[in-house]
Order: sequence, then C-alpha cells, then structure tokens
Amino acid sequence: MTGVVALTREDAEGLVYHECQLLDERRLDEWLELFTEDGVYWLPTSDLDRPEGASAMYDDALQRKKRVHQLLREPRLAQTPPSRTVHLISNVQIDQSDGSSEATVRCNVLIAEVRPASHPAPQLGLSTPRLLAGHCRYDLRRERGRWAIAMKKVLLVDRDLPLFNLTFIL
Amino acid sequence: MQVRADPEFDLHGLVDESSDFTVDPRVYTSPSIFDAEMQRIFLRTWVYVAHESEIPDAGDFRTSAVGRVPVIVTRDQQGEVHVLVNTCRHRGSVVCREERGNARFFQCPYHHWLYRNDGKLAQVPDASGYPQGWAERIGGLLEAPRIAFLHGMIFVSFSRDGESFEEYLGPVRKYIDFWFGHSPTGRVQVLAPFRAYYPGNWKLQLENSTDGWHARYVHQSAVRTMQYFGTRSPAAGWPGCTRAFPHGHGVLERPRDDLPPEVQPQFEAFRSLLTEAYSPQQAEEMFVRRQITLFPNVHLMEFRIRMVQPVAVDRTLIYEFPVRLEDVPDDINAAVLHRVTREISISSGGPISGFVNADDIEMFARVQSGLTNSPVDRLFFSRGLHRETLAPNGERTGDNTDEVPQRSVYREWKRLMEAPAAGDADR
Repeated sequence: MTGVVALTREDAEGLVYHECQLLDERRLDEWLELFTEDGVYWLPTSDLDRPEGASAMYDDALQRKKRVHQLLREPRLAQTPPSRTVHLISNVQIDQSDGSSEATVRCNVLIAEVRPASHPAPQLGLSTPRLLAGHCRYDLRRERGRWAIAMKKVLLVDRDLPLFNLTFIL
Repeated sequence: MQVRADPEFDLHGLVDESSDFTVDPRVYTSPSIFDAEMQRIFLRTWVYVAHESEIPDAGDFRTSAVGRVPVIVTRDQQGEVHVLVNTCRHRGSVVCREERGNARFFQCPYHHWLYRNDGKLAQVPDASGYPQGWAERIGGLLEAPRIAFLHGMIFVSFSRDGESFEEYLGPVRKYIDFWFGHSPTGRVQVLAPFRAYYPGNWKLQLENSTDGWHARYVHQSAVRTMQYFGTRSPAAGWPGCTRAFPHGHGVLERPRDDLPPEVQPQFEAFRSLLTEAYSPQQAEEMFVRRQITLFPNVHLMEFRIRMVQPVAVDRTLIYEFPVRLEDVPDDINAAVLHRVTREISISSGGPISGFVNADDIEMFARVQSGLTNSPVDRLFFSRGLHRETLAPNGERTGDNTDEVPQRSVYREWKRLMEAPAAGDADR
C-alpha cells in the first residue's frame, strides 16, 4: 500500500512532547492546530465509554476554539491569574496496525499546576501547587503529511471524585 | 436526633431586617455557626438526598448525606425507599463505601453485623454472645423518620415533627411542576453527574444559582465569547425576573431566547409537544428557562439537578446531574443534552471547567478569602427591597437583578437558626 507511514516512537514522543510544551507555554492557538478537523478533546468525569452525561470537557473543534478564545482573549475569572503548568509524560506506548493511516499512543501524564497569587494575604485556591495524574490516549491520523490528533482523552485518577478548577487545558 | 446546645455566641441578629437587609459575614466563616447549621437546618428541615432514577430497581442504593450525616438511600425488596444512617450500630464503622450499587444486605466489615437493605439488623454472628432477643431490640440502622417524594426527588427530614413536606414547599410547587412538566409524565432520569468541590461556604452556591445580577459581570468572558462566535446577540439584554417564596425557596427566570441554531428545530418541536400535552397558555408559561432554589441544598437548573453538600465551613461539594426527560423523543433529548453539556451559557464543563460555572466557583473562593479575617461586619442583601412585590400567598417578585431569592434564603436561615434547640432535645 502506498502512502502509508509507520508511526515511529520518535514521531509519537515528538508530538506529545510538543503538545506539552505548547500547553505549558500557553501557546493555545498553536495547540488548536494539532487536531484533525473532526478531532475531539475529552476529559471524562466517569468511566463511561461515551459522554452520556457530564464530562469536564468534550470539545470538538469549535468548542476548543471558544475555550481558547475565552482563556486567552476574555477576562476569564477562573484563570485570573492563569495556571502555570508543567506536563510530564512517561510510559509511552504505540499501537498501529500494519498498513493503517491511524495509530494510537498511550502514555501517562503528571501535571504540576499552580495559580500564583501576587497578593500576600491567603487566597483560597491560589498559591497551592497541585498534582494531577492521568492516563492519556491519543488517537492519531496521518493527514497532509503529518500526524494529527483525532481524539485526546485524559483519564484522571480522580475523574469520578469531586474536582476543582480544571479551567486550563490539561 | 439530638440537637446540640447553642454555640458559644448568640445566633440572633446575624440576619438583620430592621432597616436594611444585612447579614453578618460570620455566617460564612464561623465553625460554630456551621455546626449549628448542620443541626438546626439540615437535621430539622426537608433535605434533598437523591433522585429515584438513581435507584430504579429493588436492591439499588446510593450513598449521600444529610448535612454531615452520611446516609445510604436504598430501595428494598418490596420497592420501598429508605434513607439509612451509614453507621454500624455496633461500634460505628461506615457500613457502605460505594457511591452506587445493588445489594440485598449491607455487612459491616468490622464484626460482620449484617443489615437488610431496609435497614433491619438481619444477623449478628455467634448470637450466643448476647441474651436471647437482644439483637431484635437493636432494630437496625437508624432511619430518617420522615421521607417525601416529588417528581422522583427524594427528600428527608430527621425531625419527627415540624412542617409537612407540602407546607415546606408552599407556592414554589407550581414552578417545580413546570420544570418537571417538560416531560409529559413529569419524570426525568438523572445522568452521570459533575462532581466538584470548592474552598468556600455552602451558602455561596445556594445564593448564586438564582442570582441574576452577577451574570453580566462574573460571566462577562463567557458572554463575550458567545457574542464573538455569534451565538448571542449583543442586543440580548437581561430579561426576566426573580421570585421568592416562604421557607427559603427562590426562582430566577428568563425567556428561553438563547437557543443556538443547531438545536432550534428540536426545541420548536419540543414546544409543540408541550402545547399538545398541556394548554397553549400553560405550555407558554412552562417553556421558560427557570433556575429554582429549594432551601437548603438543591437547585433545579436548565435541565440539570444541582445538589449542594456542605462538608466544612469553608468546603462544599456540588453534584450536578444532567437529566433525560421521560416520554420525550430521542432527538429532543439529544438536543437537551447538547444544551446542557455543550452550550457555553448552560454548562459545557459545569462547575469543574465550564465557561460559566467555573467562574462562579472562583468567586466563591474569592468571597471566602475576602471574609476570612476581615473586619467587614455586615454584608448587604437589600438590592430591590424597595421595589419587590408581595402576593397574598407569600410569593415575592422582583427585577432580574434584585436580591429577592437571596433574602428568602436568609429569612428561612434566620427562622431556623433562631428557633431554640430545646424543643428538639427529645428527638
């Protein structure tokens, strides 16, 4: 079969690490470009296979654009001040059938996050570093000579427990 | 249930209606007042615990709480619903740790005391260690003495007497019927919830769900995002009104004029369906976007049930359940779910990451931070006090921006908190 490209470990890690860098540097307009036209970003709040009830995020392209617009260009209170993050990725595994233009990358993520207060008085929710851990699944599709994200799903360890302010992009 | 003695200071005067309408900020920050609230409000009045659709079959259960009292809401083998205190009668272990499930029996892991799903003590291992008939006298898990149902919502009162459920509801009942009337059978099924917490007092959420004024400020970024993407007209304005009722209930309502194009056909069909099921006039009155506060812990929001769960004076849980309407065509339910989970103005991430709700949560943390250790000693809830109207049935009505529902919350709060605990001592 012509045109089929195997997803190498270097490709997979390169894509995921690049995404982490964009998120940590809040380059969210560039982050939007990583997805396919029909790509979905999913942050579930249950173990359901489909978003049949609530999800913290289940964003198609338009919803991602709206979210990024609110985050970067509007006075979004829950991100004033914005979250500082460090994304750490490990346990990268690649799954691709022979001859397929699609592949799946699974990895673990640990996100350190803090919203720094400039004010010395205690501010609840600010200046308190948090660790968020989860399993990530990236369904990738080869398009226009590059691998693009058709689905990014982050399954947090505390997905079905009460959560607080996940208004940044995980 | 024993109501404990007064906290060390006087609970009178914390809500002051004498000239302005003001509230002492310690109602949000004092652990003593919080302890008193858990006794005088949550163990006295009617409290929402679960929805029947979470436990449809015999043996189904879900765990919940009444104030800080952990409970198991069960459906027994005969189909009766029980609200049982989730504490083993022997030495006090939590009996059930699962959020939901199905079980005929609950066994305490400590010494294997076994309870039926109606709460009765079924078996104590090696009963020869007790005199004959001893276990029968224990009875079983403690059970809420009064239970009431409305459109599948399960309410309990841990007080044997006090106002009936019907008296507690009063005239807000009409609006609850409208809300559930979006299903021709008046019934809904709750779906997988948002679960969130915030570092703030429970009343901050209770006040906020029917606060029409803050939306244009706190939700400015969401409104501007909707305008930028063309799903909200800059001329939309803030139509609608606030309502309040005896016993702390309130309503914020506005026309359902904010439907995005992708769900408009389904909502047109929905409106026609309701017009057929009811009179055109009633359907018109019903097909309105209403946010209803039922004091002290549940809100009926646009197609979702939001339950507020106090944990500590400065920590609160929110469980928010999208609903599926019974006996409504699938494509309408799909449009409803789209509205609830995808539309900026409704939820799209709810209290965790929603374009709207997450900014409310941020405000709750900010208010809690602002009031902790602050010398500010009165907070003002008097907006619109001079222009609200009062009907003979106790219903008050005000402008969309008026603090009519918030005053209702604090009138009921005052009534319950100032009522002496002595009368409850033998409960």
